[in-house]
Amino acid sequence: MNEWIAIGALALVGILIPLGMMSVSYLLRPSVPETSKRATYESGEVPTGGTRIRFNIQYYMVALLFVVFDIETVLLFPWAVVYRDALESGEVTLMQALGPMLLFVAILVVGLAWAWRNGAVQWAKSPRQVELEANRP
Amino acid sequence: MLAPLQNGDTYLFPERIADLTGLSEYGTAGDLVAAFIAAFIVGNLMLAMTGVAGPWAKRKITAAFTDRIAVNRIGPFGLLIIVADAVRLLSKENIIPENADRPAYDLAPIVVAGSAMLGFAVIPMGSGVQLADPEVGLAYVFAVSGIASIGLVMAGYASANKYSLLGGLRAVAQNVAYEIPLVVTGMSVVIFAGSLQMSTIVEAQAEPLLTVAGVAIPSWYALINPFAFVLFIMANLAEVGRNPFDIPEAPTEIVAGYQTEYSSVYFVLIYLGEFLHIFLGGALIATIFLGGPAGPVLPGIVWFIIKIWAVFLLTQWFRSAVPRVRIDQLIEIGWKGMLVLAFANFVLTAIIVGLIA
Repeated sequence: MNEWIAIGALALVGILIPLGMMSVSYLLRPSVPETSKRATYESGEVPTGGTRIRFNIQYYMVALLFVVFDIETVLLFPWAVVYRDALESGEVTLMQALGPMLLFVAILVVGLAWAWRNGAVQWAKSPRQVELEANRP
Repeated sequence: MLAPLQNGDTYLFPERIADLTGLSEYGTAGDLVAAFIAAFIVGNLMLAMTGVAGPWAKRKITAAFTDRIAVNRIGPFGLLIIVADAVRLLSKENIIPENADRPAYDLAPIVVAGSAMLGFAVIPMGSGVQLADPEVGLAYVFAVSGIASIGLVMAGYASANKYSLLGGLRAVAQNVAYEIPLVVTGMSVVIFAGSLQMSTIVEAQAEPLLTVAGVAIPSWYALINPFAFVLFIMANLAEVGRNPFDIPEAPTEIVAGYQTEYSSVYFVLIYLGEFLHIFLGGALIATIFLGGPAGPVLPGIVWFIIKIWAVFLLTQWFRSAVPRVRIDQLIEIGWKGMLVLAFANFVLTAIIVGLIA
C-alpha cells in the first residue's frame, strides 16, 4: 500500500472533523441578528479608523531573513542524512565530508553577522522610545 | 556502503486495519477505505486528547500550581466538564464582525485545525499505530506544521480588527524566528540517526547506551545530546506559542491576538488547533529525543501518551511559572540567541559524530 494514501486520508479527516463540528454547531446555535454586536471589537470603544494600519517594518525584515535561512536548512537536510553513512563507508575523509558544510554554514553566519550589525534582527524603536531610554536615570 | 533508502519492512497501521477487517482483498478500494479508517482512528485519538487537555487538564494543572481546586462539580473530578464545555461552545451564536473578509475568515479555523492534524500521520505511536512511514518523515512534519502560520495570518488579517492583525503578525514573526532553530536542532538528531524516516530514528534510539546495575539505559538522543534537547524544547514552546513565548495572544496586551473576533465553533477550532500543535510538538519531542514509544512493561502507545502528556505538563508548568517575554526580546532571543546556539550545536554535533564515526 502506498503510504501517501494514509497521509491523504488523514488530510481528509483533518478537514472533515472541522466541517463536522461546524455543521453540528450550525444545528445547535441560535441566530439573533443585530447590527451593533457585529461591530469590530476595540475594548468596548467605538472603533476608530481602518484596520489596515501601518505596522512595524521589522516584521518584513524578519520574514526576509527567514526565507534565506529556511532555504539553507532545506539544503542542509540531505547533507545531514548521508553524513554518517558516508563516513562509515570509508569512501570519504572527514575533511571532505565536513569541510563543505562548514564553509556553507560560515557563509550564512557572515550573512547573519551582517544583518545583526545592520540592525535587521534588532527590534526597530520609535524615536520616542530611543529618547526615553536615553533619558532614563 | 550507503544505507538503502527504502526499508519497507514496517507493518503500518492502515495495513493492519486492512488485514484485520479483510479489506485487503478488495484491492485499491479496500486500501483507501482501510487508510481512511486508520486515519479516522488516529485523528479521533488526538481529538480526544485535546478534549481532555483543553477544558479539563489545563484548568486542573493551572489550579494546582496556584493552590486552587478548579472544575469539580460535574462528574468525577469534574471530568464531565468536557462534555458540558463542548455543548456550551458549539451552541454559542457565531458572531461575524461586519468588516471581515469572508472566505479567509471562515477558512482560517479549518486551516489551523487541519494542518495540526496532518503532522500526526508519520509519528510512530507504538503498538503498531503509525499511519505512514515515508523516508522524508521528519522534514514532512516540519513542513506541515508550518502551514498553521498561514492559518494564523488569515485569521488575523481577515478579522478586520487591530488586535487580530497585530496578533497574526506577531504569530508569524515568532513562528519564522523559531522555525529555523527548531529545524536545525532537529537536524542534529538526523546526523546521529542518518535518516529522516521516523521508524529508523526510533530504532536507532533502542540500542543500549550504557548499563547501570544490570539496567540498560537506552541511547535516547535526549541523553546523548541534552543540549539539543533543551534547545528543541525551547524552540518548540515558541513554535506552539506557549509561555514564555505567548505574545501572539498575550491577553494583557492585545486581548486574544488573532482569535479576538472568533466565537462559537470557529473559536473551538482555533483552540483545538493550538492544542493539537502542543501535542504535535510533544509527539515530535517524544519521537526524536525520548525514544518514541519505547519503555518498559507498559505497551508502546501508553508510553507514547505518557511522554506527550509530560511535554504538555511542561508547557503548563511554564505557563504558571515563567513571565512573558516582550516582542523585541522575543526577536532578539530568536535571532541572536537560539539561532546561533542551534548552529553551534549543529556544527559541534557534526564534528563529534565525524570524530567517533
